[in-house]
Amino acid sequence: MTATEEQTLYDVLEVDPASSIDELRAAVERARETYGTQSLAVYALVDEEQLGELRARLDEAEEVLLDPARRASYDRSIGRIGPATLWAEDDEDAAPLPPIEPGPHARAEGLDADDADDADDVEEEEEEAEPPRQHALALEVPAASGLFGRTTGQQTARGAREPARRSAQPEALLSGDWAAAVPGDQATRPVPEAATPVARRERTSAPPPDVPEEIAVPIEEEFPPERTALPPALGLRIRPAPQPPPAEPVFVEPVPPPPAPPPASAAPERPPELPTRPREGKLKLDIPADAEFNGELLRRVRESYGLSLQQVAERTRITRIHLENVEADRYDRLPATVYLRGILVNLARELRLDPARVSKTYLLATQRSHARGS
Amino acid sequence: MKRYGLNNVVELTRPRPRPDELPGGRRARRIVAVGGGKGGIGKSLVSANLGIALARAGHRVTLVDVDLGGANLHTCLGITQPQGTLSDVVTKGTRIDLLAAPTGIENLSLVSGAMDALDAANPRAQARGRLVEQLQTLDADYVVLDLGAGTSLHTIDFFLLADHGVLVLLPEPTSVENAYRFLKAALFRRLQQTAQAVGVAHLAEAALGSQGSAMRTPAEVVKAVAESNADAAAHLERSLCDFRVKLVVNQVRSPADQSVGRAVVAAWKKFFGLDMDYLGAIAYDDSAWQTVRKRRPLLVDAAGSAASSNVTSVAEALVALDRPRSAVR
Repeated sequence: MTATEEQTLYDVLEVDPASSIDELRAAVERARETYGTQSLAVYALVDEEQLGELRARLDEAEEVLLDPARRASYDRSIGRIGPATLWAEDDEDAAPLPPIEPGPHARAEGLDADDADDADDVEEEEEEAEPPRQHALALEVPAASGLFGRTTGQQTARGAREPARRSAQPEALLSGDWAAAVPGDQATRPVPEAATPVARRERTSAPPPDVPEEIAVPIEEEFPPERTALPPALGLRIRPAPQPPPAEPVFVEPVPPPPAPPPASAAPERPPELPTRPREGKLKLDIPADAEFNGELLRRVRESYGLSLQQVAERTRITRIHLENVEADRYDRLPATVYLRGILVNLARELRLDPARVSKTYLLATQRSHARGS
Repeated sequence: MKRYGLNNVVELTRPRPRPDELPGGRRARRIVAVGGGKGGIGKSLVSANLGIALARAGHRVTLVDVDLGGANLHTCLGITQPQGTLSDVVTKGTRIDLLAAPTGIENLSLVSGAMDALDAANPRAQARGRLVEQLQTLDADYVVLDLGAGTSLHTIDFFLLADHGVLVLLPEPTSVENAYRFLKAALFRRLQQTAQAVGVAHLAEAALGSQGSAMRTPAEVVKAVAESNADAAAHLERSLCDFRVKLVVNQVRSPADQSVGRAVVAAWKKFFGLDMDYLGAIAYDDSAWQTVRKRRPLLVDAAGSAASSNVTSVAEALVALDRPRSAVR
């Protein structure tokens, strides 16, 4: 409903994420029949634009999910990770990609909210709202706070800005025309990343031990299939009592990492307080310990992992336009230093570089550039 | 801009949840409204024969022709127009149960809706309210309302009043288009009515977009209301979830037609997030129009036909929906 932009590709096909390839193929076929151009069932139901969106998502679902390697990669990108899942075995021959984690987007969000000349970023970010995830609205539970200092408070702050983003709607609703009454603007909503792993855990019902009680509980009141509540397609859940607001988000200064790791051991050991994750990918680039990180180098590192800008944007919640500007060394288009540092630190973590070194050398370069320019 | 007024909304108190067994072992009454937006799609044929099928299954059924401008259910049943009609309820205050005429079929009676007064097809709010009230007093296991075409207020109100709103459509673009228009109008009105009933009409209205903020889905309206009034939002949500239409696809001719029903259910769910129950398809069958011309009910005159057995299946599917209901509520 919906919210085809907000749903995972599995949701779009209305299949279980653990479906076999044959089941997926059948689902694609079924969806083509139901939502295709020849289908009576969608005639005059919604406008062409909405149908177009849905069909584009179906194309995407077909392309991605029917290709085992791409499916495995996609599964990771939507947070379908964890030991107790059926599909894990499907992944074995897939190219190892770094597992996704709730991205450190605290700073990226702060940036969006505060950066004054950020207007075009909003648009940009809207384009970036995928891979969209179902249940995003529903999961207004405290995110795994502590991890990168992200808290519900930040998500709420983000939610509060949403109305401004919505374009004015025609008054069709008031004329009783519900053609316009189809979700779609949900597509424009950035999804708190933590929602996804949670949602997945809910499905696989194998919450990892690190899920705090208070996260697991509200989710378990999943809709029974029948009439007790609006179905998930509406992406909505009315909670009887609001969660107590968590503590104000704290902007956590990056923990100073250990001295720059030797490039040979690209999966460095980190101090335990630094949020780390199992690193699978190996950095193939040879980066000198004293390398100065400029946009070009960052781009090469990113490409060496086979990550697209889009993927990095999704993982880090840094808007793509910022990433592009960073990689192109467009210093004059980059945000203020305090935000840029956040971007660099997050990007460096994603690329498994030393965050302190990346931000220090990059910022130095921007300062030199400003000094020259002015 | 066409708008439904909020001030003359008929108070549609849905019948309270009843125990399935009334004292004396009778089943509780269900109101079934058969609509579909477009004319000529077999609403009356479905209503009449659904009534017959239910009656044959042992339920006490009253058919009520609420196609006020074009009532002809009596013709479908092959009987003459009963003396008293719904008109008397409105103008003379006659009790509706006194109007129920026998149909010659056991367990099945008919209340005719023929109204000859010029504006009778569009009764005023007060008259509608009286009709609605009276309908709910009918003593039967099933009250089957045959709605007229179009999306006039009284048609939609009767549809919303029913325990089961049955949507009839043909596998044709014109019919599908009208059916969706009818559904959207009904859904919209349900939302408005409930919002008004729980005192959040202004919130719902705002959420619907009249004040600049843009909401697109029923769910978003509920969510917006929830921000200021959680109780009201819960009501709204329940009310929207109650909007669970039952679908019948009539005049099915090909295997592709057969799949239309399921596809409509899926598409409605996909875009509106609401469930719909598919009761089944009725085959296109020469015997159907032939029996209409003979002014004989399909189930009586062509009992062995495919269409006839399809209608019986639809009735069974409908009754089946009522069985688990008490458990769900």
